[in-house]
Amino acid sequence: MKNDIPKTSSPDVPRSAFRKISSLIPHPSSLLSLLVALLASALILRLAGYDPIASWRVMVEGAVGGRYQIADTLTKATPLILCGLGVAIAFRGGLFNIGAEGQLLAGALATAWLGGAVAWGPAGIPLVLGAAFVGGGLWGLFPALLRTERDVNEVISTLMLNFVAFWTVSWLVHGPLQEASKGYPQTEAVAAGLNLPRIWMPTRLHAGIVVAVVASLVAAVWLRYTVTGLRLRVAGGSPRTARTAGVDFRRMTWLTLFLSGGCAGLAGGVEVLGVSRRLYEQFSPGYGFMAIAVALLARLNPPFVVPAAIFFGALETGVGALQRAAGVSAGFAGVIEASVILTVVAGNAFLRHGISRA
Amino acid sequence: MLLLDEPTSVLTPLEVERFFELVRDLRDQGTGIVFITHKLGEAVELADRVTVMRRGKVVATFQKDEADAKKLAEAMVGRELAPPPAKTTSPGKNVRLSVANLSTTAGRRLRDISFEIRAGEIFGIAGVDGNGQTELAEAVVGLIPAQGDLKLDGATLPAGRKRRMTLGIGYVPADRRAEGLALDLSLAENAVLGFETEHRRHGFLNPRDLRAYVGGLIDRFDIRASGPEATAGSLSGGNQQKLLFARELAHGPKALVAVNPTWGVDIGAVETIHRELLDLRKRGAAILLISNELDEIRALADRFAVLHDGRLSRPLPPDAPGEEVGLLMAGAAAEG
Repeated sequence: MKNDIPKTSSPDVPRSAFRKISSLIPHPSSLLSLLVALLASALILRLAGYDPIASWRVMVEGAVGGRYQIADTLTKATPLILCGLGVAIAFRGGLFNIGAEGQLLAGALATAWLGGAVAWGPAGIPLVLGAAFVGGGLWGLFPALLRTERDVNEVISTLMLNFVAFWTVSWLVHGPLQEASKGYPQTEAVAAGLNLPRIWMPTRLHAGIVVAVVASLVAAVWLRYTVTGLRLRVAGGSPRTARTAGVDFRRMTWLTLFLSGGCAGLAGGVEVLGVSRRLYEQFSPGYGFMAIAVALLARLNPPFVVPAAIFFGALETGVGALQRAAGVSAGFAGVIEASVILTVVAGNAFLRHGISRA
Repeated sequence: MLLLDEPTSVLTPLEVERFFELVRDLRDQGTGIVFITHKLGEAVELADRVTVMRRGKVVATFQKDEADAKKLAEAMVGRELAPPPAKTTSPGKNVRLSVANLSTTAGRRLRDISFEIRAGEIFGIAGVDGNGQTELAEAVVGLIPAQGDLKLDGATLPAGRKRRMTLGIGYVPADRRAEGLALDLSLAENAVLGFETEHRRHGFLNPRDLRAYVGGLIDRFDIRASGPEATAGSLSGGNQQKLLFARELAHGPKALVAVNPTWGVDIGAVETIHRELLDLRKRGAAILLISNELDEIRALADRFAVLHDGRLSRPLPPDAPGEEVGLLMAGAAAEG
């Protein structure tokens, strides 16, 4: 090692004030990137021969046009909040957890299995959701161990474990955990006592959204005001400084990915108790992947994960409405959705760098 | 036209002299040379004209005859300098930190290094960068594994940074931005890094407590910042270094390892840091000062040794003749 001291001659250029402001008000560029995303979707709609303004109207009405639509948006936002929190925590800790989808499935599996095994009353809800957290957490702990003990890059291992989780669920619902009547490839419904209460009758909005919002507040406080949260942020943002300050990277890696996977697992548990009641093959429409976009749009900031997830929930329901409107295929609706996600994420990064360079 | 930016930072004193001859030859052959340095002596010795910059602005220009180190220093800080602090106590009798037969295998190999630092003593390590300074510092503070015997107040030190930190081994690493501070975090958070549990109340780090705590440090160490919530990255280099020292010194270390503690900081910060180091010495800590600035070691250390290729010379008095030191830095075998 020849470099005992950094060799740059002016190492002390003060960072621009933008950094500081941006950490407090993280959204001007995010909002701008949403605007860019809308323009991009208009372009694609126009190229495909649709009227962008009319299409947008269909999407907005489908997402927030009435209480059923709003409730639908919030219901879809719920797993996105929890998965988004999981991704945000891992990224803050410097670990790229791409495996929220698999962790969500692990949590859903824990809840579906445990919830169907016993005739639970409502008192079982916290326990069954706790099992979902642990299930997702263990699914996240596995890549953490691969990383610390065998130096396997967590991007690869978390991504691959998504497929392992998907096919494991597929096998289980076709085999050992299939419902007794063998009618469909799905598990038995969870005990009737495990219903998450509806909180906005007559819509289907359930108490999961409350769980998710509370989780985001807990995560925010934990990251900001606890010793471990502080050490996680240092480990992620300034790893060499963390080393000097005595942070144990092995344990921090385990903890980070356990908590990250736990949040995604909780999303799966909440989804089972609040919406699906059981587990089947196409259980998640990709919440765990969309969560990466959610976390990035929220700038990895837990409180902002909530609005970011609601935006993506609205996009999901809006695109669904567009699909039901005459002449727009499911595939094309997916293209719109993907292009908005891509522009939001890319635009966010681009605008941020563009501004901070100025 | 030749632009040289801190060209002497990796040269031995002897090499610096030869390098200066080379630069003078180039000048005489008609090359225009801009020589950027923070070492005032070099500027005075070499330059035909010296320009002083402060905060990105030219503040003064001197001709060769009118430049001296004191004038340059005052132009750099914009005020008269306090006289250098004097040592008013001598080191105690008890050995605080002892290092015996320390060897490492990682990075630049350290070979069989032994020295003792008494309570209230500053022990300097001189040498050209890259001869094992980082490894020596990291082995002593517990960041890399090493063979040998390390004792604090007669008790063998356990392995690992965390445990040595708890026992009172402070560390000011060479690279404050990458290793010392978390630039994204606030001053308040940086001021407790590594010592978080001491500031925890009812399980939480109370932001009001932290602000009050760092407020005291800001005053004591004269840290210029927009407030306790400013990020460490927003500070100038000198203020970052003061913050780093503030954190380590405020937690009352029994021994402190400091590497290039005044590298790239303004003269005002140098004054503060030297004053605090001597103050820590007066309070009986053992200080291992590893620096590539021989002048700094001569001014602060009670004794010093030269590190070359992972080996340490015998201890020398601070006023050891320059030729001897130069030879040791270049690798001449240590006598005795």
